[in-house]
Amino acid sequence: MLLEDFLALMVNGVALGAIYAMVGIGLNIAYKPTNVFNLAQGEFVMLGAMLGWLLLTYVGMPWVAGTLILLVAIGILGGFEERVAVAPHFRADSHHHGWLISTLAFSIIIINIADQVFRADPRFVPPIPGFSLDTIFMGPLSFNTHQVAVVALVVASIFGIEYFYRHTLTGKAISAVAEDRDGARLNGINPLHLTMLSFVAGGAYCALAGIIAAPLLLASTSLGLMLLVKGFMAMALGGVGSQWGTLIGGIVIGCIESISSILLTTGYRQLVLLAVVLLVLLIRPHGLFGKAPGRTV
Amino acid sequence: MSRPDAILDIRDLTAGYNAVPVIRGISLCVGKGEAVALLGANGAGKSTLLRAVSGLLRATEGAVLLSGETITNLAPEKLVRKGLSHVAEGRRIFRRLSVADNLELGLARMGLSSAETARRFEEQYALFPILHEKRKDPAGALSGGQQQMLAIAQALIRRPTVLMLDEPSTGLAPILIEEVFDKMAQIRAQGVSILLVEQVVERALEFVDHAYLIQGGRLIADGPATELKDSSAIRKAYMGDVSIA
Ligand SMILES: Nc1ncnc2c1ncn2[C@@H]1O[C@H](COP(=O)(O)OP(=O)(O)OP(=O)(O)O)[C@@H](O)[C@H]1O
Ligand SMILES: [Mg+2]
Repeated sequence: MLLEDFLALMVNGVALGAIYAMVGIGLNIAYKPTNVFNLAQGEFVMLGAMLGWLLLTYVGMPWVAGTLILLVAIGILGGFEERVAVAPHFRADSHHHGWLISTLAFSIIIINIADQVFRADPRFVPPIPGFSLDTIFMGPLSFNTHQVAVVALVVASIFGIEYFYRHTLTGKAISAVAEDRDGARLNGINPLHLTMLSFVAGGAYCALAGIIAAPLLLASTSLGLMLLVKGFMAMALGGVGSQWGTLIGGIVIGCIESISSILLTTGYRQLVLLAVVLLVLLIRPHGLFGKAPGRTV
Repeated sequence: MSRPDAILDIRDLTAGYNAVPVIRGISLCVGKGEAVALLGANGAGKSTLLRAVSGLLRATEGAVLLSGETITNLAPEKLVRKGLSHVAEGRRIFRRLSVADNLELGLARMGLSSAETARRFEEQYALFPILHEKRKDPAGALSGGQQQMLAIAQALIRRPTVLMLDEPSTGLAPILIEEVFDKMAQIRAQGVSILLVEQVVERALEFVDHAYLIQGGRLIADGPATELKDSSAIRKAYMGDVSIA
């Protein structure tokens, strides 16, 4: 393999990995105060991409305005999901895993409606304004500026998320609920408010992932499930709850996928990917950067 | 049983897990500025009673009154604003957050001005100077005794009228246990009523005015601390049912 080819594959892998990481981080956001993985978030990413096509390409709205509408709309959808599919499980006193079914059900409803509305064809969504999909050559390196923007955006968002959890009262309250739900309640914090907030934020974050992923992956209704699985892998590899870990995990997965795409057929590629994830989890069950649960009461 | 001067008035409370009652028909009173001990062997239901009072657990029967107001089964996050603070078993501070963050969360939903917040911090730092020294450290890095002080300060920063403490001395060296009791004495001197669950029975009885003994989820005796100290009821409560032994 030529150096140029190898580097191009790596760049592609890193950009792809950054998108997987965003899906994983979206899962982390909703999980933190709830211990619930929102399985509908893959479809939120898909909706971000498809509605991105609708607003930006079909209607022709400016990127920023269209994206804002999208984040708000899908954030509300996440909040709605929390009310109908998750909150009822929290109100029941004993803990069940009912959310597994109810968030999955919510995701199936979304994908079915989306299939009816959009049909299966892939659609084009424009890149972030000021960036482009044209290939730039720098020595042996080739990339496009949208790829760079995606990676930069993920890194910036992680800084923002970590700042929020560490330095704002609401963020600290979410950390408190994550660590000790009853302890937080005894301090006057209502976990149900934070649960809802986290689902809204997780939904909006996934919508953003969708709209910036679409120029690279094309928007189609089959995007959601694929990205949910990759997002889960990124998060498991990096460690649940660790945003930086999830980014590393996503990039590892993206690069393995990208490199193996010219060496292996599709079936084997998935196999190699799963083998790597399983191997890491065998050695480090909480992922590369995950912490073992602090306390079980 | 209930007295007119009761701040915390627990009446015939029954509560448990999954519809199986663990405590049955327990009545208990804490007067203004009074310290009351709740004693009993492991598994007697002491923590269960506190959890039912603070709303973490549903009471199926009975009532709880705080300063005359019925608070039965009120959500714990609402109760803290009414002046009841519960320091749960096992030093449950937020280990990954700093000491100052833990105190800030203690005030999270009180809606105080920043000047008042600063005053509340000062109060706690005056009572627990070590917390001021370590205010930037993660709470998980504190020693066991310091963590317990933090847990108490976190409850106290809301200026509760009633403070419920669940085994604050567990796992601490004797000298630290003495320090905990010393702090509790200072808190009490400020007029806070205290309901204390303790394993260090003798020391607890020296500290409180009145004590209640429970066994198998039922009240078996209560009385002034000085009288209970020498009574056979204490031994019975801790030995459990003699016929089993
Ligand atoms: N979460 C729970 N689910 C079911 N049963 C429980 C639960 N917590 C406690 N119990 C049971 O309730 C009974 C009383 O427990 P509780 O913790 O109130 O005792 P305690 O008097 O506080 O004991 P200790 O001195 O060990 O703290 C015990 O038999 C215990 O097994
Ligand atoms: Mg207990």
